[in-house]
Formats: sequence, structure tokens, C-alpha cells
Amino acid sequence: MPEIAKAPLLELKDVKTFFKVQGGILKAVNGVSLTVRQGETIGLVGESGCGKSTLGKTVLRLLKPVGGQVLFEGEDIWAFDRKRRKEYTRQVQMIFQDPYACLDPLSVIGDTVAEGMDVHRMHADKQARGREILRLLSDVGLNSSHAERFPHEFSGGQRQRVGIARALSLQPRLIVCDEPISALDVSIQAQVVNLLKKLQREMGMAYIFITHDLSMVRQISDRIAVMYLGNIVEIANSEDIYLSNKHPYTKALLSAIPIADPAVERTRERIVLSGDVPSPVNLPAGCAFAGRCPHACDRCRQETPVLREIEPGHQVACHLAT
Amino acid sequence: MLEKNAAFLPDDFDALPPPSKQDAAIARKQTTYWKDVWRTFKKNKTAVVSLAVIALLILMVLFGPLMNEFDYRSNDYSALNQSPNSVHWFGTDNMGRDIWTRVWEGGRISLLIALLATLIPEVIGMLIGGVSGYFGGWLDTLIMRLIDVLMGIPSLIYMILLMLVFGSGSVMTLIVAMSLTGWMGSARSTRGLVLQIKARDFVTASETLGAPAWWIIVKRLIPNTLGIRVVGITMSIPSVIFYEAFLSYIGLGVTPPTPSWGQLIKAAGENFRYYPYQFIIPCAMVGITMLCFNLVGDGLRDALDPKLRA
Amino acid sequence: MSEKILDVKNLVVTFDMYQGSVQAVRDVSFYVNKKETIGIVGESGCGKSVSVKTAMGLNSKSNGSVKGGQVLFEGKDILQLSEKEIREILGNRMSMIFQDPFTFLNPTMPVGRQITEAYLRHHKASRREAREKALNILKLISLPNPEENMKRYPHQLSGGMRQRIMIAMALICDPAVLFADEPTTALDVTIQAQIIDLMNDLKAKTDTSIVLITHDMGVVAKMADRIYVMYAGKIVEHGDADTIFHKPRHPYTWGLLNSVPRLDERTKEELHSIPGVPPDLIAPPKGCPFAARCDRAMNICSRRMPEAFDLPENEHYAACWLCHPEYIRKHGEQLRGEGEKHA
Repeated sequence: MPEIAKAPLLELKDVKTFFKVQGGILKAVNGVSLTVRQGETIGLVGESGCGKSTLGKTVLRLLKPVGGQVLFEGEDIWAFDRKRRKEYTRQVQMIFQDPYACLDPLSVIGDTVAEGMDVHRMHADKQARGREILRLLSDVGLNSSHAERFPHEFSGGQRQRVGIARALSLQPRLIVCDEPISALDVSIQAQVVNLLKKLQREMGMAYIFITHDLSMVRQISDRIAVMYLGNIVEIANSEDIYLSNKHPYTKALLSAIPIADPAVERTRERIVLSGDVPSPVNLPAGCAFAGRCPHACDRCRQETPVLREIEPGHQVACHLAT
Repeated sequence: MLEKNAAFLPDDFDALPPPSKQDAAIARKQTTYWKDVWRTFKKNKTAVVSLAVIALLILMVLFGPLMNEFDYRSNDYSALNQSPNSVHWFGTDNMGRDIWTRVWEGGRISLLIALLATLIPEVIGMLIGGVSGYFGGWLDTLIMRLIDVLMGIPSLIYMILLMLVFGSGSVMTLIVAMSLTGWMGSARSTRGLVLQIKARDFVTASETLGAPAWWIIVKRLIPNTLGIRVVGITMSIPSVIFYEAFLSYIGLGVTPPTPSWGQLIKAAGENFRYYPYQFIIPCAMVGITMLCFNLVGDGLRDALDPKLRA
Repeated sequence: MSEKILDVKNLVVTFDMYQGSVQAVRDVSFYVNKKETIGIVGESGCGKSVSVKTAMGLNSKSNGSVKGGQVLFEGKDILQLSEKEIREILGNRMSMIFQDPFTFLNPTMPVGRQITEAYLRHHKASRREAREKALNILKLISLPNPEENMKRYPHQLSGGMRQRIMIAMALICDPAVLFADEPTTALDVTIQAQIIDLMNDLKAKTDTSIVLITHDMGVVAKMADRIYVMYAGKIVEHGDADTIFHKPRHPYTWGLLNSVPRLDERTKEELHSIPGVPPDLIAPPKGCPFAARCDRAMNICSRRMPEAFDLPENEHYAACWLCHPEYIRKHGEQLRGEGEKHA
């Protein structure tokens, strides 16, 4: 990626989203700061329960943070008036994980794709609306005969394309993709990733690409943020995460992914983390990863590390990283 | 092993033209959701017969009175309490009125009440349940507690009270009274379904597209509850028919000379021992209608249950 | 020569649906040797789960879905057994672990009792002996604090622990074959790594053979000795793990390998993707089922179904016309990588 300083589109400043649960407060997102620039793709990677989906929903204004700020083009999204709020829903869209649950089973594909346009009354005359539906369908590689069909007639990959067309219909500036490929077959995953890349080249929107799959996210992201228990532990340019990662959790995560080659697998040194991810309710003091970290020292158990820049554009939250 | 020896065509090992950029055609037969439901429904013979009987009943209440020359209110004092015969097919009552005509005329009233008094409270209940389930929070608590209280008292008592207030007699009051008491069940069950559906991604998708609450409730949530609610609706028709008959029987329903099935049963009940046919025919009508709607509802439930569908 | 524990021959399974008969499994044969792990790889709907369920006797000839074939296990044909005889084998000589342990475990019973009951169902033993056995198994699968965790209910355990409990239940009767249907798909990567290590460890410690069903090429690379690649109800390629990964000969296998980016390789601008979708098995194509998606397709591919052609490596075969001797004589061997340059 050429290093042109693009204007920030979305800024998260120390965002905290908590839930009340039995036995305490679940700190799903616990002080995340992140900047998404125009037209870039940020990969948000982590295991289940790390808060990546909650962060996505916070950005979409579906969940209200208890602390911090979410700024869209410099404006706080929770200070919007009614008009700006409606405007915001046009500019920030979402693509879902489950291609079966994300389409209304009773609406034909055309109506599903056009829902956003109908909500915002973008096309008064029916013909223009119809033309727009066909244009969107062809953009995502579906054809015009599909507009009158119901979702259950489509395969998972095709449904995901419909979901993408729906998100595109309002010409958003930012799309939050919540595990958009993890429910698909491998050969179809590659199709969808390629489609998302193509659309970004043509339309220039930014993506927040939420996933647990470190191998696919590399293909699409400019930068990758690794999350663990509500915090970003490392953020860097995509290749740096793979080639010069610093946080022990990132290392463990990468090492846990099996490589599709038995000869390599036989000789590969792997870090297998012991234990499970602790519950995000009532976190212990210090670094959240300390309990599973092979290098944890006393300082890690007492003092919570903060993100600090160790190379330009490469931030790590670990006391030991240099 | 035949193929191994089979000769090859000269161009067999030439490359095919690159696959045209066609999207996979959908080869399976096209079925919409409701077509699929209908297909499963058809397998249930009892339900299909019941549906046919209901259709026949509707045809008869519309055209039955036109099939002979009598009308439902004119008396013929020369023919009192006649048994069924070739002139009066179902006989006559104690004022010499033709029972054939009165049964179908009464059926028209009874079925109209059944239909409206089922659909109107259903719609009210759906909207209230939809709002309650979608918004949740204190509004939901308020509505649900209100329903708990209202449902604690038997609906018949309300109905009798309301009929006393509105004054009994007209078909409209009967429908209004039934609507005011019938929405709670539907609201409760719609709310339960809405709570399930609103967690699904397509509802979140509507939200992220900026759809207002009414849009989501009316366009997304309620239509998706309908499939399941339709069984409840079908099943509640028989009880409405029964209520109408019952209210008319105790003198709070439709007043004479307008006939309804309940009204006919009431009038004939006095002379049941002497002229049983006057009593049995409308009773049978009520019974058959209730049975058929129940059986259709049963068939629908099986057809709509996705787990049972192949 | 190692002995075959399970030998599935020419299995044909179809399901009758309103739209027509779905030919889910079309003449599939595979076998498992003692102490061996095989991987059956393919996308959803390719028939891999159906084949395995049939091999376990869960689809029978009596309900009409199994149209042909044999499943030989310990001297018996599973497909000919009565339901009662199959129940004696399942959970005892053959057992299975699933993708989602939460739906598999009984939520109202402590997991310890569920494990002991799995044992007592097939063995005459006292509760104490069964408990003893359960503890041993839990130690074998290295569950932390086995005594305490046995008293817990499924919802009190984490996903990885539930998966371990399910593996313990499957192993307590020392089965000859363990079927694992996407055992790690629902787990997080770090937990997946633990479970894969555990299963590889079990392979060394017990005599159980493992049949692994998955769509994840990385997982098979780590676990399987031999691999069957399935597509549209057929086995399109078979070989030992090194052959499949290093000398694959079927374009579908190439596609599967290419569409997963490898962490030890640099990013490509565009991911290789297989265009289109698998064929509808209600009306499978006359020729090769992959022809419509294959960039190496030839005229013959749409005319005739290729049979399995033997290749020089050990037991390696592929059902592709590119491997036919006639083709090789004319054009030479086609290996992975050449297709992409060509395309």
C-alpha cells in the first residue's frame, strides 16, 4: 500500500461497551482506540468472546458504549440529530455471518436488495428502482432473473452476495463485515473475498473485516488489529502482523493455524496455548493474557499494558515487546 | 471397465471453450414457501376433506337460501312444525318458517361473526404484541402485566358485561365485544415469536439500513410470525362460533327474527323432545364447522412445521 | 500389510425428495487400516457426512436410502444388520464425535455420569469400575481437574472442555473406529490446536483408527495419513497425505489447495477461486461433475464420466481425464501449477 496519509473516516477513542450479566459486568469492549481511514480495510481478528463483534455493533450504532467516543468524520455518532442519524445509516453498512439468517425468508431477493432504497425513499419511480436492483445484482455477480426468487432457492455463497448487494445499495463509505465468509465453503470463501476486494477498488469504501480466520484476513486487509478479551493487543500493517509480530498472543494465534502441507506441519515448531480464554466478566488485574502467556512475569500480572508504538504504524500492548 | 476400451473421438482431449461467465442456474423445481406448505398440506387427506367441507358450507350459506322459494322471516301458519319433506327440505319451525332457508341464512351470520371476530382481534393482538416484543423494556412489561390481569378473568364474563353495556342484539356489537376480549392471546403469542425473530440477522440488517420501528414491525416481524400464527387463527374460529352460539343461546347474542345458528338452537331447544330435527340440524352445522376448522388447523400446523417437511 | 478395520465398497445412497432423488453418494469406496487416520475432504453437500453415517449403519437398506454397496466391519456387513445389532456396535466398537458438543451432551446431567453411562450401556460393570475407567480416560485426554469437572454440567464448561468430554465419551469403550465429523470447526483456533494435538496424541496411545471428515485442508494436513477428496458424491482423488498435498492430480484438489491462502507464503493479489457452485445432485451431469467449474475441461469431460485412473504413487488415483494414459501419451502429465499459468 502506498503511504498516502488518507483522511480518517472513523475514529474510536477509548470505547467501552459493557453488558450487565449475572455475577458482574461483562466488559466486552474495554477501552479500544482505533482509526479507520477512507477506503482502507482493517482486519479485526480474535477468538470468540474477544469483543470484535460487539465493537462492530458499537460502530453501527446498534449498541451504545458506556465510555469513550465514536467519531465519524470528526463528529460524535451519539450526538447526531435525527437527520444526521438517518444519514449515518446510509454511510455505514453491515454484512453478516450467517447467509441463512440475514435474508428475510418471505421477501424476494429484489425487495431485499432494495430495502435500503425504500427506507430512504431514493427511487420514486418503479422503473428506476428496478434498474438499480439489476445493477446491484450484476455488481455482485448475480443475474437479473434472480430478483424475483426467494432466498431459500439460493446457495450460501449466492445469499452472501445478496447480502453484499443490500449493503452496497446505499453507497456506504464504510462496511462492517462480521465474519462474512466463515459460514461458507473454502472455494466459495475465495470468491467472496475477491468480490469484496473488487468492489472496494471500484467504489472506494472502507471495510472493517471482523473474523477469527487469520489466513483469509491477510488477503483483504491493509492493517490488522488483534483483539483479546476486549482490548486490541497488537495492530500493524497486514504483512507486519505475519512477518514481524511482537505480541505473544499474535504469535500463538498464528502458530495455531495448521498449514495445508503435511511436510511443513511435521517439522513446524508450534506454540500451543494451554487453558481456555478466561471469562470477560470480572477480569483480573494486569495483562488479560498473562494467565496463558508463556513469557508472563510479575509485572504483567500487576500492571495493565497499554498500546505503544514500537515501529511507525506498529502498536503492541505488551510490556516485553521491543 | 467398458470405457477403458472404448475408442476416443478425435477431439475428446481438446480443451472445452472456457466456461462462460454464467451464474449457476438453479436446476431444482421452483417452489415458494406457500406452495411448499400447500404440498405438505395436501398429503393430509382429512385436512383436505375438511377444507372442502368448509368451502361447501360457505357456498351453501351464500346460495342455499336462493335454492327454494321461501325466505327466512315469512310465516306459513298452514305448515307449522313440519318434518323434513320434499317442499321444506329441513322442515319448518313452530312459526311455519322454512328451516333450510333459516339454517343457511343463520350460517351466513354465524360465519361472518366467526371470521370478523377472529381476524379483528388477531390484527389488534399482532400489533400490540409486535410493539411489545420489539421495543421490550418497560413498555413490554407494562403490556404483558396488563394482559396477565385481563386474562385472569374469564373472557365470557367480559363478553357478557360488554354485551350488557352495548346492548345485545346487533351483529356489530357482538363482533366488537369479541374483538375487545380476544386480542390478548394473539398479542402474547405474537410477542413470544417476535422476541425470537428480532434476534435474527435480517432484522438487524433492516435496522442498519435505517428502517424505522414501524417498518420493522409491520414488514419484517409480523409477516414472519404469520406462518405460525395462522394455525392459531384457524383453531380459534371454532371457539368463536361456539361463543356466538352460546351467547345467542343465553339471549345475549343475535336477536330474532335474525337467525344465527345459536339462535336456531335456542329456539328449537324448547321443543327438542317433540321436534328433534329442528334442534339437531343447526347443532350438526355448528359441530361440523368446528370440527372442520380444527382439522384444517391441525393439517396446517403439520404443513408449517419446518422440521416435519421433507 | 496392515489389516483393514473398516472397508466400505461401492456405496450408493440416494434420498427421495419431492423435487426428485438426490444422489448423495455415488459409488464411494474407502477403507481404514488399524491405527490409521484417514481424512475425507470436501465441501458441504459433497456426500462426506452421508457416506460416514451410512458406514455407521445410520442409513439402512430398509429405509430405502442405501441403494447398493457393502460396509465390512469386524467380519459383518453393517448394512445387513438389524437396528438392535447396530446399537450394540455404536458407541462401543464404533463411535462418533460431532461438530457441536453442546447439542450432543445432555444438559441436565453431570458430564461425569454421562461418561460412565456411555460405558455401562455396553459393559457389565459396577458404577465404581465405570467411574474408575472414566477418570482414566479423562486423564488420557488431559482434562484439568478431572474429579471436579466430572461433577459439572455441560453449560459450566468451556467449548474446548465440552469437546474433550465428548471425545472421552466416544473413547471410553475403546472403539475400533472413531468417526470425527468436523471436530474442530466450531472451536477457536487456539483451542482447535489443542484438540488436534490431543487427537494425534490419542492416535499414538490407543489402537483406535480415526475417520476424519472436514473441509479444512490445514486440519487434514496435520492429522491424516491418507486422504480421500470427495466432490459431488464421488471420490475424485485418493492418496497418502504427502501425495495429495505435493502431487495432486485432480483439478478440484488443486482448486481446494489454492483457495486457502497459506500463512507461510506471501500474499497474492487475487485469491484463486473455483468459479460457480457444485452441481445439483438431483440431476448430476452426465460427464465429470467438476467439468463446468474446471479451467482444464476438455470435450470428453462433458461427454463421459472419468473413472479412477491409477497413478504411479502408492495407491494414488484420480478420477480425471487428465490422468488417462491416452491423454498423458499425447500431452504429458499435468501437475498443479501448470493450470494457473495456462489460465
